[in-house]
Amino acid sequence: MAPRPPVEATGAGRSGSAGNDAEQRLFRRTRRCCPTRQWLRSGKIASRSLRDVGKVPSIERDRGSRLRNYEAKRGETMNSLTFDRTNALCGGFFILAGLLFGYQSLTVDLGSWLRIGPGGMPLVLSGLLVLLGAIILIQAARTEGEPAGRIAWRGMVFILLAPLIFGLTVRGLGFVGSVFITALFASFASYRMKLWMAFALAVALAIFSTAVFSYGLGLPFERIGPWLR
Amino acid sequence: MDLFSNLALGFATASTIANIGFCLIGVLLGTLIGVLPGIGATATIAMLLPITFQIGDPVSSLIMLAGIYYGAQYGGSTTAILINMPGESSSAVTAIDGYQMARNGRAGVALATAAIGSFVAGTIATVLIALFAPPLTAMALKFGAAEYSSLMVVGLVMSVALAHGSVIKAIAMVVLGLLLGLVGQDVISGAPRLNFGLTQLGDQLNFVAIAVGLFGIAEILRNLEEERTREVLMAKVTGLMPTREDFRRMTAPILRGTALGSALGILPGNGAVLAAFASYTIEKRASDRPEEFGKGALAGVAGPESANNAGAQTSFIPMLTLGIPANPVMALMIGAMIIQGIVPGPNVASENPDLFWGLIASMWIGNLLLIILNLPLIGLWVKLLKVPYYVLFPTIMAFCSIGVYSVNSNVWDLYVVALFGLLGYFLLKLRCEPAPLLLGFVLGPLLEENLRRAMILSRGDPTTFVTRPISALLLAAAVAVLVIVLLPSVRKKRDEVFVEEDG
Repeated sequence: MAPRPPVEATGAGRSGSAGNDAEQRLFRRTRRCCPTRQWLRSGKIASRSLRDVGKVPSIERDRGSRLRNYEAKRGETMNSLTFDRTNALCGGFFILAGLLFGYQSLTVDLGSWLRIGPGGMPLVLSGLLVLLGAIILIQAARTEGEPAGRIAWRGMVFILLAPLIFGLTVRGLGFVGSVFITALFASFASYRMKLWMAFALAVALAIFSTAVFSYGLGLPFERIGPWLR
Repeated sequence: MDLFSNLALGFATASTIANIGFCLIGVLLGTLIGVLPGIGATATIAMLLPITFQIGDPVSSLIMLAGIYYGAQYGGSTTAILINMPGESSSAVTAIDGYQMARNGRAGVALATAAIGSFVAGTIATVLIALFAPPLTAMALKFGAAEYSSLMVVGLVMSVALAHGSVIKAIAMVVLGLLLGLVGQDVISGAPRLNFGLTQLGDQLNFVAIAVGLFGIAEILRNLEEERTREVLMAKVTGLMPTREDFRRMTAPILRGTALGSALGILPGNGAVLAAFASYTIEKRASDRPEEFGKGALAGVAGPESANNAGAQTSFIPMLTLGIPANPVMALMIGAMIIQGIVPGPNVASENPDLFWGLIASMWIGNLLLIILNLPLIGLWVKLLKVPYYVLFPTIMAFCSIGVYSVNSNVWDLYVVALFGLLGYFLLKLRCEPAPLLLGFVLGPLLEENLRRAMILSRGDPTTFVTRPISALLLAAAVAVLVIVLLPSVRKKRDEVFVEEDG
C-alpha cells in the first residue's frame, strides 16, 4: 500500500466540511504519489493550478487569466474570502448542461400526464440538473477548494485527436494506413517517445492489427483506401 | 431438483470447446490488461467490449466478457502484491499485506493465497447465484411498469450512496447520465430529440463509444499527467505452495470473506470494494495476532481477496435477474446484452436459459482456468509489468479506435469517443466519479419507458407509484437511503469508511 499521503496544505486554512473532505480524498486517491506535493506544501503551485482550473473549459483561455491569477493569490492570503473554484466550475458545468438539454427538450412534444411525450422526462431531468448544479455552486462559495493539479495538455491534444484522425482517414487511406497514422500520432502524447520508436511502434501496430482484425477476425474494412490507389 | 438440471444445462453450454475457448481467451486477455500498469478492470472491459461483438453468438461473447472481468481482477491483485500498485480499488487492500509478504520473500505464497481464496469464493458464490437467481427472477416477473421504475430509482440511489466523494455531485452525474441516455430517437414516438441537430449520431449515443471515452481515454489522460518511471523492484517469485500451517490459517478468513462479499456484492453500488475493506477490518479484529497486519499477515490477503471475488460474482445477481447493474462493469455487461439483442431483465432466465445458466457455469470454469493457468504464468505477467507506459497507450488508442469503429462502421462514434474522453477527463478533474453517469446512461431509456408505460396504465395518475405497495416500498427505501446518506452524522461515518479505503 502506498504510504498515506500527507494532508496537502494549500497555504490558507481550510474550512473543510465533511463533503469536502471526501472529495479531497477522492482527489488524493486519483493522484497518489504526487511529486508536486513539495510545491503544494510550500504553496507555490496552489496559485498556478488554481489558474489552470479556471482554464479547463478553454473557451476563453487567456482572457482574464491574469485577473484569475490575481484572485487566486488573493484567495491564498485572505482566509475570509475563499471559495472552491473546482466545485464552482463543476456547478456551473452542470447548470450549463441542464440548460442546454432543457432547451433541447422544449423543442419536442412534452405530452401530458397521461401520455408523457418525448420531451417530458428530459425537461424534468434538466431542471433537476440545473438545481443540483446550483446547490454545488452555492456550496462552493462556502468552502476552500483544493487545486485540481496538473493537467495533461499535451496528452489531451494527441490522445483526443487520435480517434478523430482514425475517423477522418479510415475511409480514404484504408485500414492499414489509418491505423499507422493514428498510432503514430497518439505516440507523441508522451514526452518520452522518440521519433524512431514511434515509427517502429506504428508500423508494428499496423501490421499486427491488419493481421488480427482484417485477416483474422474478418472485419469488413478496406485495407488500402482510394487515396492511396 | 431444478437447481441441478439448471446447472447441468449451464455446464453443458459453458463447457463446449468453443465456449471454454472464449472463456480462456477472455481470462487471459483480462489478466494481461489487468496486469499492465495503469488500466483498471472497467477500462479494460470497456476497451475489449467491441472485440467480443465480433463473436456472433451472444452466449459466447458474454462468457468472454465475464472472463475478462475476473481475469482483470486477478491481474489487479497480482500487481498489488508484486509492485504495490493495485490495478483497481478493490485490490487496494490486498496490496497492504500482500506487498509486505512479497518483501518478506513470500510473494509466491501471497499470490497462491489470493488465487486459492478467489477460487473458493468464486465456487461458493456461483452456487449462491444458482440458488438465489430463480426466486428473485420469479419475484421480478410479477413487477409491473411502476415497480420497475421504482426499482431502477433504488438502483440509482444506491449507486450514489456508495460512490466516492460528494453525494450531490454523484446525483448530478446520475442525472446527466440519464439525460445522455435519452439522446437520440424517442423509443415510443420515434421523434428525434436532444441531439443538437446531429442526426448522424443515430437513434442512440453509442454505448461502447461512451464507455471507452469515459473510462479508457480519461484514464490514459490521467496517467499522462505525471509520467514517472515505475520502479519494478521485485523479489523472485519462489515457493508458490503454501505450507500446511498457511492453509490452516487462511481457511477461516477465506470463508468469512466469502460470506461478507456475497452479501455486499448483491447491493447496488460497488459492493465488492466495500466487502474487501470490511473483510480486512474484520480479519484484523478476529486475528489472534493483530500486530501482524500491515506487516505481511496471510489473513490480510486471504480475507479481502475472497470477499472481493465473491462480491464481484454475486453482483451478477441483480444484473441477471432484474436487469439492474450493480456497478459500472455490470452496466457494461447490460450494454453488451442490449447490443446483442437481448433485453435485460427477469425474462432472460426464461427466454435464454442457456445464456443465463451458461454464464453462471462459465464463472466457475473461468475461476478454475485462472487458478490452473495463472500460477504457472506468473513469470510472464512479471515481465509484462516492465512494459513502459509510452508504448502502451498508442497501442490502446489504435485498438480502441478500431474496436469502436467496428461496432457500427460509423465514424461519428469515433468523434463521440473523443468528446467523452474530454468530458470524462474534465469531470475527473472536477472530482466527479464517472461510474454513476454510466449507470444512469444505461438505465435512462429503460427508466423512461417504464415510467411512461406506468403513467399510461394508471390513466395519467402519478400517485400510482406510491399506491402500489411494492413500488411504494421500493421508493420509501430509496428515500430512506438518500436521507441517511445526507444526514451529517452518517456522512461523517461514510467518510470514515472511505478514509480507511484510501489510507
